[in-house]
Amino acid sequence: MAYERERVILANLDMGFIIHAPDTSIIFSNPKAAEILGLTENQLKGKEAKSTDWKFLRKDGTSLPLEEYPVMQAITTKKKMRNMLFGINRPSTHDIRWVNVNATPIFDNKEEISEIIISFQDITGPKLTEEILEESESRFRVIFNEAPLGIAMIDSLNGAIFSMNPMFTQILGRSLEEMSTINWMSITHPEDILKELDQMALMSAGKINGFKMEKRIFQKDGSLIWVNITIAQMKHSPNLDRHHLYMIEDISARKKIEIDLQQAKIAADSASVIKSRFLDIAAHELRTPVTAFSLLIQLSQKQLEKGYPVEASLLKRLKMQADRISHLVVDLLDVSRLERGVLKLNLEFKDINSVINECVADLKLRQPDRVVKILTPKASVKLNFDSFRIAQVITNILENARRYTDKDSPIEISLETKKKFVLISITDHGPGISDEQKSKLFTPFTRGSDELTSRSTGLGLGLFICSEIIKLHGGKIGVISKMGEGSTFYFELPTRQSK
Amino acid sequence: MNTNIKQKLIMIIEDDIEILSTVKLFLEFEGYKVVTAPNGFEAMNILKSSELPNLILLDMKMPIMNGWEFAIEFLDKHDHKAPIVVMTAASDAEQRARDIHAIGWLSKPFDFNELLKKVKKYEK
Repeated sequence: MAYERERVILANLDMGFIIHAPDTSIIFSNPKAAEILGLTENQLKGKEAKSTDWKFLRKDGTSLPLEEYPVMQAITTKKKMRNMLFGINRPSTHDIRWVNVNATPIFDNKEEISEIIISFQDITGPKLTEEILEESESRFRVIFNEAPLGIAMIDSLNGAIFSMNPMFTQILGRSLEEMSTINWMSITHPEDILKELDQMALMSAGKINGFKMEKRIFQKDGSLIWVNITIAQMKHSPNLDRHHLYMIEDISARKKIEIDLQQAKIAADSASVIKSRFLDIAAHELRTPVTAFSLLIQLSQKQLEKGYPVEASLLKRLKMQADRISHLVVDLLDVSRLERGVLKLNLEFKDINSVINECVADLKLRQPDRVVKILTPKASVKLNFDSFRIAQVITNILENARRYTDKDSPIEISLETKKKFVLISITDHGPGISDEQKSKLFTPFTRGSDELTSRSTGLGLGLFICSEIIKLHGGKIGVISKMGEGSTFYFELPTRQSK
Repeated sequence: MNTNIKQKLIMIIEDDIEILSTVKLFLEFEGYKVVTAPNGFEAMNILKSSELPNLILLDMKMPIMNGWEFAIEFLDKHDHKAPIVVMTAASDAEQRARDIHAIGWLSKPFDFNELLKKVKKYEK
């Protein structure tokens, strides 16, 4: 046999060797080829590339399409292919062999392909590991660089960062160089440091392999952000056992929503607590005059039973209790209307001077000897306003001035006409109002809890109602007060107002 | 009214002048001697010089010294020598009474029959 020598060589060659016909059917294979492919030489004979008895893999483990088979590539390109790396999924043993393949097309004298020689070497082992590692390293690089998650490697002993990805840099707002000079504690919110130190202590003691926590960090520009961090030991790689993987995710947006929701809940809860406390106060305030009223009626009955006449003074006392109850009820109704937005003004073009005079006259009925100075222009001052409601405001302020100041101390009420509004001021010379009280004056339901135990008359709604009435007129209300000197309550009513 | 028997003394501590005066008048109708105070502080002052009452009717919400403060000071000085009945407009009168170790309570609004029943039940 002319080729006997070559046959012996091929049979003993530690390399797979296959000759394909131009139609890809196998004309020849050596024993090593059969071994690597996991088929017998007989099975190989005549088999075409498209056979489903074999499965080839790319380096990344995905299956290799037919057109990328070495023999197909050699046919299409009519060129030698060198050092292609493929995996062979062997049907008999269900394992994978990695091979380095060369393909060489042989041409006849008409320059047509007469056969294709495929040679391949099993490189499953050290050589392959190197290449696969390189591949996986480059894949890891891509993940590392493109990940929407901050990833860094830190020294397990001192926490120093020696590698971090672009996202990590972005979240911290600092470069690797900058981070090397910074202690993590200096950029962590003080309230979060202890929690992290505890976890790190547990990890150093070997009680945990890593941990996750949410914390706040300061970026370079001083802004505070919420992050979720994950620290994990890299114990599977012997070369990296002194390193930890540090992952960081910016969760500020989610945290903001969480915090907003929490605050909304707290606000709702406290509003409901305030309302129910107010109801308690309202019930309490109503019970007192109702008690007095009912006792006075029983007293009159007793007197009648004993044959005494009911005195006019007793009826007057009864009327006072009825007035107390009715004031409370009116205030409650007003607040309820205001809260539902159904308190409507009845605007009329009227003289406001006359309203002031009527209110002062009313006060004089309650306390005839109280000095009230009226400082208003002689001529009438006409504007559009709800005279009933404005009288309510003036009376409320005047009555406060009367009740909370010494009975001999004078009260002044003035009216000034400005370009766009009229200004009404009521000044007393009482004890004054502290800044803390001022902030609560015009707000409903703000009575402190101490007032559940100490007596304070009324519901504390009067000035809130006043301020809402003035707002409905498009005006402003306020107070100027100095402790020990007295207070001036003022309000402005626009002279021209939209209806 | 039998003047031979020593009249029982009731102390009313209440800041609402109408409630105070009507309760006083009514109890006097019923033959009691009545002493009144508009707050806890004045009540403690009166007790310095007067005999201990057979019963104290105590309002809770008062200026200067409220019912809680009065009860603490009174029990500290006089123990339970005079029984205290709470008169309160609070929604849970019984709890208020328990809070200050009072013997009974009257929930506002109350009427004279209730008042008289409680007075007769608890007076010493």
